[in-house]
Amino acid sequence: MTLTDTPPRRRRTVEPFAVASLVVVSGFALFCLLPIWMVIASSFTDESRLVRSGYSFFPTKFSLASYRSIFTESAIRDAYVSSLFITVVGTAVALTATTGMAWVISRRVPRISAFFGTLTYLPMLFVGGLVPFYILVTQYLHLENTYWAVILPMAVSPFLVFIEAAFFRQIPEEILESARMDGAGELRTFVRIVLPLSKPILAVVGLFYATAFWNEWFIPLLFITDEHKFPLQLLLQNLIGNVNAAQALQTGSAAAPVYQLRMALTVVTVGPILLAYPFAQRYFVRGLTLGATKG
Amino acid sequence: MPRPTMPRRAFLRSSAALTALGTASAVFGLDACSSGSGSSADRLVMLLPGDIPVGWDAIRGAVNDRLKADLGFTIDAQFISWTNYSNQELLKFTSGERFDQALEARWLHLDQLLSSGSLRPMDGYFADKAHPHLDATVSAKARASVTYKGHQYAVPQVNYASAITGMVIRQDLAEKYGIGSVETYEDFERYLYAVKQHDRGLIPFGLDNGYVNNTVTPQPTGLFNAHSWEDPSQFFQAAGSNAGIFAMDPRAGTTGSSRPRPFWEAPGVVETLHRIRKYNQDGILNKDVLNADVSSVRGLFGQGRYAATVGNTDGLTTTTFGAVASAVHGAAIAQVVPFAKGTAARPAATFQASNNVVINKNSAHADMVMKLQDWVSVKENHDLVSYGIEGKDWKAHGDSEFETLSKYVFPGFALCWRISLERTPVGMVDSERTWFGWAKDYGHFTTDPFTSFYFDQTPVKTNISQLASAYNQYGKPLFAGTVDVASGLSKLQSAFEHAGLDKVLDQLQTQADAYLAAAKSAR
Amino acid sequence: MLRVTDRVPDTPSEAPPASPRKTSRGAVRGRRRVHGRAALLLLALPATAFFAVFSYAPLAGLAVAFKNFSISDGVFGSPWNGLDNFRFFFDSGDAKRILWNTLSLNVLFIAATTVCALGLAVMINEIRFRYLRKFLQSSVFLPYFISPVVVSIMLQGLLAGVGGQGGAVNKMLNIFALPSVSWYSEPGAWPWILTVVKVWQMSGYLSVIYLAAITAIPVEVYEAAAIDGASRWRMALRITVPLLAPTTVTLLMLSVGRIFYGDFGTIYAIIGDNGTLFSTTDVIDTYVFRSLRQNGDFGMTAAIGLFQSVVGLVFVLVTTFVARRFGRDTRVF
Repeated sequence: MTLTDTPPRRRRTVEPFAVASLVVVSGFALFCLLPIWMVIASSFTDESRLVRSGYSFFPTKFSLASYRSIFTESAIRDAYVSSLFITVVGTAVALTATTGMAWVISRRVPRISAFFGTLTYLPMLFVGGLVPFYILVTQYLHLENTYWAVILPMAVSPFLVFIEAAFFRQIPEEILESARMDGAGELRTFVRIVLPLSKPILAVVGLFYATAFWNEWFIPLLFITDEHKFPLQLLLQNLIGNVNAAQALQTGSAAAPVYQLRMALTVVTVGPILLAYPFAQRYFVRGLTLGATKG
Repeated sequence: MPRPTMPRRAFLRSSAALTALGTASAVFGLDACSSGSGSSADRLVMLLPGDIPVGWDAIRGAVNDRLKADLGFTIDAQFISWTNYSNQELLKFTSGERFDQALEARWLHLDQLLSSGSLRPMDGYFADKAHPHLDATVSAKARASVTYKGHQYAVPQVNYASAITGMVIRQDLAEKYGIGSVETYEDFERYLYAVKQHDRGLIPFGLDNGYVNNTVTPQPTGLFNAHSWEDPSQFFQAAGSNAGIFAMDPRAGTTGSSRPRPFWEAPGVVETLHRIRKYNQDGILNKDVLNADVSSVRGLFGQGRYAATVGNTDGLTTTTFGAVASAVHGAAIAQVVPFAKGTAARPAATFQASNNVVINKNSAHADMVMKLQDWVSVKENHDLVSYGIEGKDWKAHGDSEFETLSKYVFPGFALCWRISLERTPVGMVDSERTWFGWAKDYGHFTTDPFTSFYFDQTPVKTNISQLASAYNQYGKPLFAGTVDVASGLSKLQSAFEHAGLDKVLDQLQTQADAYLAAAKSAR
Repeated sequence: MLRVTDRVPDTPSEAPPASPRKTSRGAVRGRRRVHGRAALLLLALPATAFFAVFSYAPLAGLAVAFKNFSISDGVFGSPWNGLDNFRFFFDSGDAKRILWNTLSLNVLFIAATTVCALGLAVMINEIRFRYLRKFLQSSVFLPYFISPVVVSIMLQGLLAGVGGQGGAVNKMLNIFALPSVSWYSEPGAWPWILTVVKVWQMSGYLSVIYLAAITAIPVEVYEAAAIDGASRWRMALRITVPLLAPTTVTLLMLSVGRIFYGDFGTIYAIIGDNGTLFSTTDVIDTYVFRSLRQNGDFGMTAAIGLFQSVVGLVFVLVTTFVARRFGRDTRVF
């Protein structure tokens, strides 16, 4: 049954709730966007203006100083490549491992699901701490200075496993049953029926993983010492921390644009992930809701 | 519910993509594996703070070529950003990593590393006189300050005998308001109030959340502690916090009894707290001291929003703050040092360096570290590492000055600062030149009796962590002037008492007296 | 909205039994075939391997919580010292206040973000213009990307102004003839300010999870209701929200386990070392960070971490038990 089968355009009246929704969501979006706009506008505003208020809503004195200092950083290209690799491969690995586990937990098979559920849940509560983790990666797995040192430790987020499992549980059992009647095994049912039905949640979880990999700077800080393998976030972290230290030893330089630089760094890091966003969004914002076809 | 139409093809496509990714990643991964990070017989691994210098690849190449020829090994410098250096180096020490040397200091974890025996003693290397350049460029006084239980554990990296935390002011404004040169505390206060009165757009003094620790307790002066401007004869002990919160008996050097007291019992301190509170209420100080970071404060000074801020006598004042001249027409800066007697003052000094090179206990190449220290004590090597390639990165102005030509900036203070070898940047303002030069002379200081006293906090570490927490919560607001003095101080006192102040004082006294006795018998 | 329900909602017309919850439950229990199990084990294998290596193996390091940590002996070589490491926190006299702050701030954050995320998702789903809907949905997701440091700078600009004098909010207050507030020395306002920041940061992010769950609600359920003449508002209230209950419960239960973990990233970036605000904003994680950053004692850090974990576990078990007694299914797995 598809949506367009039932076009009973009975009421073309304006639904108060739809109007209210539009107003409220627009209001909230404004509340979200204004500060973002502040960041973007500030990143193009000359430092001498920013130091008066700390932010700006319009670049009254336009300046590209920060962007210039970011993009003259010699390692910036390597950093984009590193980040891209970590994000793409990391998300693929993470999504595979997460989805498998989520399905097993969502099946509620006696003993098996409970066992794996507990196995997944406990790491949310108990953490071994930084030192053992560091020793594990450097002295047992010897992953230092490889991208795997960033990808593998972040490969499964228990939180996202359970989010995915909650979604899987919404899939009507009769769909699965009918597949089994046709003689499909567990694996086949999962791959051919469940996964295609689960595109929305796969898109969401993938998006969350991608964001996490893209934004990660602490794990690379721990394990990546080769500056050509620094991901973007780590490079920019260093840039912020160093803005004054570098200036202190330079002769005749102008004052470092502290405020502007931080804003510009935000823009530079957020940019690429925003480009990827619409691809994921297709799946989780319902294409055509009921409201679109019915009054 | 619509039935899925083409699941298989979609899945095949996505799994093919996955496989491709997996292959690609395996290739990349293997490639990435090839460079290890451990030290080896011909590679010295060092931890340095900050961002990787612009153009480091080329200069590292030049340094390593020369090193290889001279000493037969190369260096592998691992740069860790400032914000993370402290926790990262501790993590590396704790996990038993085999790097060779690190930047270390009391504001990092020097005390704990000393008391836990994580560093390698260096006495032998100095005793055998095998490092003539190093011996000639690092003074015995500085070396003595990093002696612990009879052994030397660090090579101090200094371009001064003792760095004084002072301030930088806008000399153009001081002239404009007829104050002239700021020398005494009265001058300084007059300057702040004159700015407040005449320049409504300016905040007289910009202070950040880190240097707030330097406002009250003398080391050897507190910035707003007028009493210590007159009498800079004491160094308060920090003992586990970031500020000097313990005052030793001023006569401890002669009596041999340390008798530590909490800072508020020392003369001039409570008066200073009241003064800072007044500054806060009068709008002399920025109101957001506790939330301001040093980068922002310096940035704001550079843009002409603050009329004064903290500036040390480490030779970096002009380069750090001089930029204000390009933002504000006619602006000029001056270094102010908190001694009422000016250059005639003979303040106390522990000669403890703000930065040291230490050798990791787990390093198999201590000898290489010492050879490198000797090597960078030779002028041409020192210049190469510090300033880069001559003609390309920098240009000499005479024997002692230089001008930067590229953006190369090396954290020399973590490897090769030497009083006699450091060049100063061209264009240093006169007041800074005077004071920087003055601070290089060991004869201008009197030796503090606790010059190489390192407190082992292990026996009272629970109390120390509670004290640190109490200081953060109740002490810093007092030092920043954001709370009422009477009630704030009494809250601090009761929090300190609850944290076991007496127990810490006892332990401090025991260790300090033992130190004094040992120092006496050594003499 | 926090109603944990297992029943099919009473839609105006009896909703068709296509409700996903009902049929997925128990119906097929015990009918697994052997090769089905093998397949399940295969699917669980990658994540299991991950947990074994990266989560369970490092747990050995928790031993340091009971050790007198020394840098040169490391995590495994330091001598035992019983419960000494717990003392610095629990003897501090601040423990009660800090535990309360941690708990109350987390409850505030969780309640506020859940309500807003759920509300947003339901309302976004109501918006008809396709591109506008996508645009608005993207907009609310954006704040998640702004790092806490930048949030902190903007907040200072708005509340206090540069140098702590002025600020946009105060200017606004002044316009309405209200006196300026020095926000950064007013501890009372901060739980709410932080909650607003969290809502700003997280609502859009979490709403995406709900939006995905909404796509799984069978269209027939709405159609039946529409035929009965139910308004959109009623449908949202009676169909969408109840059918989102499983997702909501999952999210809440996942938060309960971490209720004693303070939100270090956001709180520390914004409050920092401003002691005047600690009375309402200091949480376990910020307290531990400040107390131990100088001496870097991994033993004490681990001790507090262990405490947070154990309390979290107790909370989860109690919640599950209580919920079961009241006949509600709150199982996350």
